[in-house]
Amino acid sequence: MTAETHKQPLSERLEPYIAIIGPMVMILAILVFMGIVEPARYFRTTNLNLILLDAALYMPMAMTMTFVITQRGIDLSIGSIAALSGIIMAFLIKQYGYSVYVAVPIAIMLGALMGLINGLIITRFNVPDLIGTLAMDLVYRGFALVLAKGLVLARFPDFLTDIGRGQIPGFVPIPVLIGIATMIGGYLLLTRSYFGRYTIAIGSNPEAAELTGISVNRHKVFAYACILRVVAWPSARAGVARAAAPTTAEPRRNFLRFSPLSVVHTSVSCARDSR
Amino acid sequence: MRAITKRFGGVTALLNVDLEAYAGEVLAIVGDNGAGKSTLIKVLTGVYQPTKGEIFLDGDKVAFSSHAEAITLGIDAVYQTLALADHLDPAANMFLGNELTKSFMGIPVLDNKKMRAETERVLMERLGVQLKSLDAPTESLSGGQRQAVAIARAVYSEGLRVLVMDEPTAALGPQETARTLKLIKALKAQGLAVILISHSLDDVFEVSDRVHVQRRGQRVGVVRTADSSTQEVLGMIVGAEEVTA
Repeated sequence: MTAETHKQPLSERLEPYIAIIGPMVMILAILVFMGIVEPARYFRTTNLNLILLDAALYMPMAMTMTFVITQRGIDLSIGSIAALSGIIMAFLIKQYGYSVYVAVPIAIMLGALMGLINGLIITRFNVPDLIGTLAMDLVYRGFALVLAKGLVLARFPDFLTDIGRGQIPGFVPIPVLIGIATMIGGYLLLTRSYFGRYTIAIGSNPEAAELTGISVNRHKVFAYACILRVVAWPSARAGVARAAAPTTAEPRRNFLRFSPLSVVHTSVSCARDSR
Repeated sequence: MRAITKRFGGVTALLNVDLEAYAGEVLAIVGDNGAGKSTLIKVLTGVYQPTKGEIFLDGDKVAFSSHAEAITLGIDAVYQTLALADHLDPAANMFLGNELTKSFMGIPVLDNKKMRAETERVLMERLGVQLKSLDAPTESLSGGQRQAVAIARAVYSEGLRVLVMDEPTAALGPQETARTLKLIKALKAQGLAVILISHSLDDVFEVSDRVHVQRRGQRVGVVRTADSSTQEVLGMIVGAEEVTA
């Protein structure tokens, strides 16, 4: 067996890992390029921390979007869900004087509710996910704009600012830790839970998932609602984190641009890892 | 199955079809395209509900509203497409919809290790098949091995009585076909009622005990394989026996 492996050309031995290696090489290439162009500034701790901080906001969204995409779906409204729940959180705190401990969970729950609505629209009314979530993207964004009246809300209580700007143990930003925790949680969910297993199965072969005796339509509805529910949770949270990070909340931030990109990265690697 | 009729709108796919399968026996169903073979087994496995007719299992009248219900009563099928989720490993496929779990702080967690061990055991003990790697996604296996995984999934259920195999050898090379036929004989020896759907009369005559011939939605006859010939069955399939008679 070992002798056999040695005879294989390198390219063949690397083949199963290509989906992981590819994106890694791209990131390394960018690092090297930036290092050559801006050697003095790029590798400073503050700069690298900023990059991590920016990435951290997309980690939860990308992770959950991974589930949606893995089961052959897409959610285009994820950015607006994040924006709207962020705005709601900001309003609860600034306008109505709610404590952060109340406002943040409410924002997360509302984000989950928006995801659930998406799931129901797609499964109950048989609306293609691309169209359904694109429409809901406009709905959620519209709500956010109307609520905020174009204002940018700023100056939140210390607790929120601390989460957004704090560092543990002195140099790793807290949002990065939250982001990494979400990634680990998502990986475990994908590989160790019924939910993750069925997500991959439905994505891999929907007919097979059906024929295996999984109660067909009911499970699909359940899976969709659940997936989007989970999506909504961190995307709502990302809205919260975004609000906390620059200590402002505004409705126009477009998360959507980035999250599918990050997903291509994570989903491919995760799907490969999950075997 | 007695007097099964299945209509799709104005089209009668099956008309008064009887079918008997016995434990420890291989029944082959043959017939031209459109003869109603697939519809017949879909009725038997609960995918379709018959318009008319009854299904008996050990003398008890049964009816299934879904394929899942047929599985719980001991009737399962291995489809031509195998119905495997190719991105998952063989063990995940074998336990799909029926996963083994362990408890981690009160939370059910998939027990991938145990599922892999069980898959290896079932493949070895029931089918005599050993896979090179149990970690690789199912798509990396050969046609015969993928089929073994699909069959293992069906036979893993203790209550399995009737196994329907739809065109199991259609996509296989000669060597793998021989292996699959051997496997069918092994399943028969384990006391299962095997129903084999095939276009290959060579395969049918090698493994089956009886041959059920379908033509245009009706059963034209059942013959004992030992008392029949390829010629006779072929004649029944195309309807030539009326000419010779």
